[in-house]
Amino acid sequence: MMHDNGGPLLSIRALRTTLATEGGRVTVVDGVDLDVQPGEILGLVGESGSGKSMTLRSILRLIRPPGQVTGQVLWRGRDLVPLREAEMRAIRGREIGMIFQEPMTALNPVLSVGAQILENLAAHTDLGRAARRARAVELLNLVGIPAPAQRVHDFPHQFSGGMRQRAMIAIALASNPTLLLADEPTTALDVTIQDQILKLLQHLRETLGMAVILVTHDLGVVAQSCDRVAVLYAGRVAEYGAVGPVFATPRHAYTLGLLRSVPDARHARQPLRPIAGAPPPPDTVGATCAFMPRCGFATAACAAGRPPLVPAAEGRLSACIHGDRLEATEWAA
Amino acid sequence: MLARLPGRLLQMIPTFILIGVVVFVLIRLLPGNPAAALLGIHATPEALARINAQLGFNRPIWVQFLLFVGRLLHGDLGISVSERIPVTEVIARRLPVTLALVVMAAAFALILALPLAFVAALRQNRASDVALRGVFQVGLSTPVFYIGLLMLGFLGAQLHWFPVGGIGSGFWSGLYHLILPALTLGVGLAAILMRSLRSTVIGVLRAEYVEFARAKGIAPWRVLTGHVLRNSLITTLALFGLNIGTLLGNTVIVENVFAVPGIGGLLVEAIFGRDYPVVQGVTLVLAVMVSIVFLLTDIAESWLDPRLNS
Amino acid sequence: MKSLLLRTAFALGTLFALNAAAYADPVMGGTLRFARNTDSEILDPVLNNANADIWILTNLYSTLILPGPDGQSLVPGLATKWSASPDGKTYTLTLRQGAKFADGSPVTTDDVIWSLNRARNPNNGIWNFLLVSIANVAAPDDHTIVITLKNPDPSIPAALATFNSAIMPHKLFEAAKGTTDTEKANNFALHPIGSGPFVLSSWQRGSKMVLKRNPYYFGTDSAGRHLPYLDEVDLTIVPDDATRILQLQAGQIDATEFIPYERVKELQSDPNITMDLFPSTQVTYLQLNAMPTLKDGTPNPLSNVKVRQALNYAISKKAIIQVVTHGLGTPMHSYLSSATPDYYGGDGPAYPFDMAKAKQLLKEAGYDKGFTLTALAQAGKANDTTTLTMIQQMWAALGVKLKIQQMDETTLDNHRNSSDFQILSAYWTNDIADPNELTDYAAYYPNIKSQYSGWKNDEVDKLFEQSQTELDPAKRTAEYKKIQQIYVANAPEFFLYETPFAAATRKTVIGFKQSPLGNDIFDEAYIQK
Repeated sequence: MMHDNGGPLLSIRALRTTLATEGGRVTVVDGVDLDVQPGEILGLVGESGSGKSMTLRSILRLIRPPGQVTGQVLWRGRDLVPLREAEMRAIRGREIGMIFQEPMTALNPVLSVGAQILENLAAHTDLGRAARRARAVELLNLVGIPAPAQRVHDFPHQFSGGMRQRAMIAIALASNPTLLLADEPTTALDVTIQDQILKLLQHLRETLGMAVILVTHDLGVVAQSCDRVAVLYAGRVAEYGAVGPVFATPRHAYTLGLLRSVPDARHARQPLRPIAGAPPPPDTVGATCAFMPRCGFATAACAAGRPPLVPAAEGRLSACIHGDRLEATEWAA
Repeated sequence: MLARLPGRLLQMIPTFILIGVVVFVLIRLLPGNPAAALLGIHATPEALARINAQLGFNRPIWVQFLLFVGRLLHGDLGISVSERIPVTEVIARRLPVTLALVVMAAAFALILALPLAFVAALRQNRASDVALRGVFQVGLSTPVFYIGLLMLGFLGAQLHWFPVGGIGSGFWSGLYHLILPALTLGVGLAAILMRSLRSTVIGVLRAEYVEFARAKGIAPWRVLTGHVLRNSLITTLALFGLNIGTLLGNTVIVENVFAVPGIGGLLVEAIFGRDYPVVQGVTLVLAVMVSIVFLLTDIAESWLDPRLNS
Repeated sequence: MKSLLLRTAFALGTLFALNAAAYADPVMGGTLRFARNTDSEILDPVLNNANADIWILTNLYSTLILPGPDGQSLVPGLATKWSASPDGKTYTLTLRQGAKFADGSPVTTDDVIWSLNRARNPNNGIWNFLLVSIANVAAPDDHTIVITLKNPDPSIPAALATFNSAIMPHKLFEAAKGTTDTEKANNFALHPIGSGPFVLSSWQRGSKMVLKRNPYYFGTDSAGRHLPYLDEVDLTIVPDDATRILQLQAGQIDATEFIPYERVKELQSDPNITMDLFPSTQVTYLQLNAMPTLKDGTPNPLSNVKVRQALNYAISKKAIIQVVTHGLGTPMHSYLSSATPDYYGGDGPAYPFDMAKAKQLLKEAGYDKGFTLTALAQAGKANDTTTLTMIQQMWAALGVKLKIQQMDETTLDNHRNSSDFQILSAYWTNDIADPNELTDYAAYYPNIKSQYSGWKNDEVDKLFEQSQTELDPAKRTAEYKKIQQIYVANAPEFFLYETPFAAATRKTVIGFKQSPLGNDIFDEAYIQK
C-alpha cells in the first residue's frame, strides 16, 4: 500500500555525524540527504564504511556523546536532532523501530523472547499484563513463528537463525512503529532464509502499512525487495531513486561500478569487474567528489568542489556531474 | 539444573574423602606431635611417650586413620587435644561466627563493588573512574590486618562508633560486633570484584543487545537493571566462587585482629598446637562449606543464565 | 600574714586529703574486664600444660601454702602453720579450720590427702616431679596433715605452694562423669569447684571466661576485710597486642597483660592508664649445643668452652636490651632470674661486652679463622629475629657467620628435644619459687642433658644432688652460689636479659598484680569510682 500523504514520512537533510576516536574526531556521515515515503521500502546500499549503519543510528540518535549528530531529521515534520533524550525515547521503539544484523548478539541471551517483547510494550503502551502477554504471542504469530504460545517463553539460543531474526522483528514491531530501520537484517543468514525474511518484511509493509529503510551491501536484496534505493559512498549519498531506473541506467559512476561488479547469472563465464582501489578513510575527502580517485569518468571538474546532489531525472537524484554520460548497463529487473 | 543436583552432591563425596586423607597425612608430616605441642619446654621423652599413648597417637598411622573414618561415619570428629572436649562441640561453637562474618563480608563486598563498578564503567576513563580505580587499588594492596587495625583504631577506639573487637554477647550484639571485621574482609574482596566487574560492565555496555534495548526506547534504568546488571552478575558470581578461598584465608587474620572467636583462628591454633582432631575436623568442615558455596554459585548462575541449562 | 596561714592550712589540708585518698577504703564489688592473649585449655591443677591454665588456676584453687607478695616467701594458705622434723623427712601442717570449697562443703583432710596423692602420681600430668620426694600423706586427726618424704627435700614447702598442689574436692571430683582420672578431670574442669578467691561462672571458649567471687574464700586483707573485693572478673580473649591496647585506651577493658615493650613508654604517658612493670622470673637467652658433633655429624665449634665464652663476650647485651626491650630489660648475671630464691648475681653481669677479649679467646681456642653457626628462631616472634640479627652482626666482627632459620614453635621444640640444633632462642619463667626447677632443667646432666645441650659438669651435678636434700638454708644458698658460678664460667648458654611483666590497667584499677611466676592475682584488685 504505497500512498503519498502529501509529504515524506522521514526527511533527512545535511545529516552529519562525527565520532570521537583515539585519533580525534571522525566524520562517518558526511552530509546525507534522504526521503522516505510512507509505506515504502527504501534500500540504503554501499560498501562497509560507507556510513549506512551510522545513518540509521543517527536517525534514532543512538550515537553516544562525545559523538555528535548535526543536520535535520524531519520525522512527520518534527526535527529529531534537537530533541531531548526523554523525547527521543518516546519515538524509539514506538514510532520508529530498529532491527540489527546478528540476532544472536542483539538479543539479550538471559531474557526470554517474550520478556523482551513485553519490555517494549510496557514502555510504550498502556496494556495490562495479560493484554501484553496476548500481544506478544500475536506478534510471534505475525512474524511467522510456529507454536507462538510456547515459544514466547523460550530464550534466544533456543531459536534457529532465521527464527531468531523473526523474533527480533517481532520485538521491534511490538508497539506498531510506522518506520522500521533494518540494519543488514539478512547478511548473517543463508540465502533461503534471507529470502523468507525479505518476504516477511514486504508482507509486514503490506499488512501494517509500515515503511522500511533496508540497509544492505547486497544489490540483489535491493533489487528483490526495495522500492527506492539510496547509494552511499564515503558517508555521502551518491545516487537516489526508484530501484528499476537506477539499476537500469545508473546516473553515478559508483553505482555503475557496483552494478558491473556483480556477477551476472545470464552471462556466465564473464570476468568480474571490481572497482579498483578502496573507499577513502573518513575525513580525507575534502571539497571534491569522493569517488574521484577510483572513477573512470573523472575529470578536473570533479575536483572543483563537492558535487551537489541534484535531480538527474524524474524522481531521481545524483551527485555525479558526469551522470548522464555513463554507459548504460542492462539490469534484469 | 535441579535435575543434576543429586549428581552434583554425589560428586562431592570423593572430593571430601580425598581431602580427609590428604589432611590426615599432611598434619602428621609436620615435625612434632600433639604431646610435644602440649608439653612445650617441659617435654621429657617419658612424658611425651606417656601422653601420646594416652591420646592414642602412638598407634600406627593406618590404625589411626581407620579409627578416624569409623568415628566420622558416626558424626564423631574425635576429642580436641588442647580443649579436651569433642571437636564437634568446638566447631559448633565457632562455625556460626565465621559463617556470619563471611556472609556479611560478601554482602559488603557486593554492596561496595557493584554500584562503584557500574559508576566506573559508565564513566569510563573520566575522573571518577580513575579515582575509583585508584582507591580500590590501594584497598587491594593494603594488607588485611592493617586495614583492620586502622578501622579498629579510628572507628572503634577514637570515634566509638563500633566496639573495639570481640564478639559481645547475644545475637544482635554479635552481629554489630561483626560489622567492622566484615567490612575489613569485604574491602579486599570488593577490590577484586570491582576491577573485573568494571571490565565486564564495559564489555556489556558495548554489547549489541544493550544498543537494541536502547533502540526500543525503554528507560535507561531499565536498560541498566534488566540488561546490563543481569548479564554482569553472572561474571560476578563466578568471580565470587573463585575468591571464596582467599576470603576464608583472610578470615584467619581478621579473626585474630578483631578477637572474633571463629573457625579461622581455631584452625591456625590447631595446626601450631598439632591438635590433629581439630585440624582434620575443621578442614573437612571448611571443605564442605566451600563446596556448598560453589554449588550455590553454580545454581545461581544457571538461574541467571538460561544458556547453561541446555 | 593571714593569707600565709590560709595558704598553709590549705596546703596541709590538701596533703591530708591526698594521703587519705591513697589509703582510702577499697571499693567492694564491681566487675573487672581483663583481656588475655590466649585462652585456657584445661582448668585442672594436675593435668594442665599451659601457662594460660596455671595463671587462672591460682584464682580458682588454694594450696596449703601460699606464695608471699614478693613471690619468694611463703605464707599460710589452707594450712595455717607448718613445721619440719629435724631430719627434714617429715612435715606437719595444721589445716585451717572452717575452710570451705565454693559450694559450701568443708575442706577436709581427706581432700588434702587425695589431692596430693593425685598430684604426685607419676601417671598424672607433667608436674608430679615437683612432689617426687613425697613418700606418704596422712591425717592423724581431722586438722593435721603429716607428709613423710623419701629423703629431705628443702623445696617441699615451695612445692606445696605451687598450682599443681591445689586442694580439690575429692567427693565432687569422683562424682564427675567418666571412668578414668583423665575423663573425670576433663569433665570436672568444665565446672571446677575450688577454695580460691574466685569460682568459674561461665566459659565461652575462645571468647570469654567469667569468674565470680567465691563467698567462702578464707582470705582477708590486712584490715580483716573478706577477699576478693571484686564481684566478678571477665576474661576476654584478644590475641592481637595492638587490639588489646586499643580496647584499653577506649575503656572497653580495664586491664590487660603482655604489653609489647615498644608500647610501654606510650602507655606510661597516657593519663588514663597505669603501666605496671612487675618483677618477673622471665629470662631470655640462647640455648646452645655443647656436644662435639651436631646431630648430622658435623663438628661443633661450640663444644669448646673458650669459643662459648668468646661468643658470649661478643654479644652487647646493652644494645639488645635497648633495641628489643626498649630499655626495660636488665642483663643476666646468672642462668637464674634475679627474682628466684638463692639467686647469685654478685659477680656482675655475665660476660659484659668485650670484643677484644672475645677475639683473644677465639684465638686461644684456634678458631680465629671464622666458622659458621646456625640458630633456630620462632617464626612470628619479632623479638627473636631482631635479637638474632643483631647478634649476627656482632659476631661477624669475629669472622663468625650466623645463619638464622625460622620455624613454628612445635617444630622448634622438636629440634630442641632431640638435640637437633646448634643455637636456639629460649625463654623461661619459673613455675615454682625455688631454684631447683630451672637448675634441674638447664644445668643437671642426668635429667635432660642440661637442656639438651650435652654440657656435663660433674661438680654441678653433685652440688645439685646435694642441694636437693640440703636442709640448712645457708648451706643450700652456698651450694647454689657455686653452681651458678660454675655455670656462668662454663657458658653452656648465651646469656641475654631479664624482663619484667608488662601489664597495663585503667587508672581506676587498684591492686591488680602479676606474681614473678606470672600468676594474675585479682584478690586485692578493685575499681575506684
